[in-house]
Amino acid sequence: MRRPWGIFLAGALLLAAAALFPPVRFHRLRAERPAAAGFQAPAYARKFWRERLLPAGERAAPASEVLAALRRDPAAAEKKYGRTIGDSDTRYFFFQGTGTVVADGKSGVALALAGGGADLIFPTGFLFGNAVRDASGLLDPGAFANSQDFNAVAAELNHLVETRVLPALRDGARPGRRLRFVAAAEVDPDDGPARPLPAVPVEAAFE
Amino acid sequence: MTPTLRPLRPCLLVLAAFAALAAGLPASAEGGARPKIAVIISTLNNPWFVVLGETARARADELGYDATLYDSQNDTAKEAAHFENAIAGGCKAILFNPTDADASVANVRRAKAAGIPVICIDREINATDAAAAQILSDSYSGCVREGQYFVEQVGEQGTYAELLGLVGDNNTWNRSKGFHSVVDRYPGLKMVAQQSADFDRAKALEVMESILQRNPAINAVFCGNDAMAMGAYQALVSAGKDRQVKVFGFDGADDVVRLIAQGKIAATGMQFPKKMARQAAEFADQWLKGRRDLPQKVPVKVDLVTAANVARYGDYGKKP
Repeated sequence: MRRPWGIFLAGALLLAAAALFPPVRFHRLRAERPAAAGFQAPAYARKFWRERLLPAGERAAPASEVLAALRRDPAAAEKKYGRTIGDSDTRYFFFQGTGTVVADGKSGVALALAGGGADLIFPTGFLFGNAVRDASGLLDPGAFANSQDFNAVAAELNHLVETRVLPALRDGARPGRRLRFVAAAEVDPDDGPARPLPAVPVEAAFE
Repeated sequence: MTPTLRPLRPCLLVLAAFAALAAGLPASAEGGARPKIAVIISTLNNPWFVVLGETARARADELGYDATLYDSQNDTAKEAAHFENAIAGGCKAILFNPTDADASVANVRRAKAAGIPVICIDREINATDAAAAQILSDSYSGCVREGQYFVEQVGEQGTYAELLGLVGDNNTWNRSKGFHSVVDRYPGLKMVAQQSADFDRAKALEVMESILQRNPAINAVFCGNDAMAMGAYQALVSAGKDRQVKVFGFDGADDVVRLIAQGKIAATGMQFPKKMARQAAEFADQWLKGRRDLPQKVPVKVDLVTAANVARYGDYGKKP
């Protein structure tokens, strides 16, 4: 007569043990997906801009030195000042300096670093490409689980330039005004370094 | 170790080190079976991927390995079975073109757990701690350039369609987002249809026929790869609209490069499959010889190919 109670007790103990230490656990598959699903490119780009890119601008190479080197010997200049991402012959340059506005037209604001013609041109329309993201060499594509996130950062950084830098540049540009800047440029070997060299300003302030 | 053997200890250690090193290296021509490498490709139903897979296999062969090519047929279950076979078959490394950026991660982790390095080619997986390295087309940047050229060619007013690739592949979205990061800035350019054709030529032909029935007056079609561009172009020729609708592809496939030279397709992005495949085989070889500092992701630049520079391209690359 005592056996049914024993079986019941043993079964109850087994159920309790299974509840406390389940032999199988069920997970939602989506929860196992990489954290990239929650990546917020605008917030990441703003933080990068504020905490890393702008401080790096203070240590950027002098623009006059970079441009002179590019004109003298592009290959040597690329080696000394250029950066590249992955397997590419495109070179990015990050520099800072002061120049004089020599023209303000549809294609952008043209700047002369010394006397003479324009050395740089800052386009003031839509921005495309990766110069702002890649020229400083601060971001590694291998740190991003999903390359869509890395690419979204490039678009967001361009957006920051369009909204934070370009409006004041467009409004204040007059021939003869002096401008302090930090800028990023992209040079494609098939085209060579253009003169004036197109560059994207990440900082621009009139003196 | 007995006292008589003790003086030989340094020599034995050196011999043991050489033996251990040799275990990871390709066998010499005289010495036994060559180590195996698996080349697992998402699909071989597309000439571009055939070039990718065959080049990886050929380079692995040159480096002293016995390389086998597997076709996943865009099916993650088949891909998983290929990984099982490669692991069970004693492969030393896997050169891998994934089918799905998320679903393929588990396969790579399984190989890693078995001590087998995986080098991803062209397509990525959404993890940075599973593959030994990933060599990837910089599809986004390539499509930013192609988007700019699209606006130059089509103008700032018009209607267009977009054919997407496999929705589970990051390249599909990197291409689409790169293109739209430019084109969407021009409100006069209206996208009237966006449909997936799975990177497949035959599906693209059907999808394009259907799009043309609903939107007979479109000005352009942007295709996420060249196989779809060829399918779309075929549909346009059949409908007599190949002169009206500008076709933009992506890959750098030989047939599309030829059609660009003939003025029939507007542009493509050259992805350099041979370069990526060779690099992947070399990375695997370096890993097996002890290198552990491979870069996790190597974006490979994509060149815009148009009528202006098409003479410089062909055979899935840039002419020397």
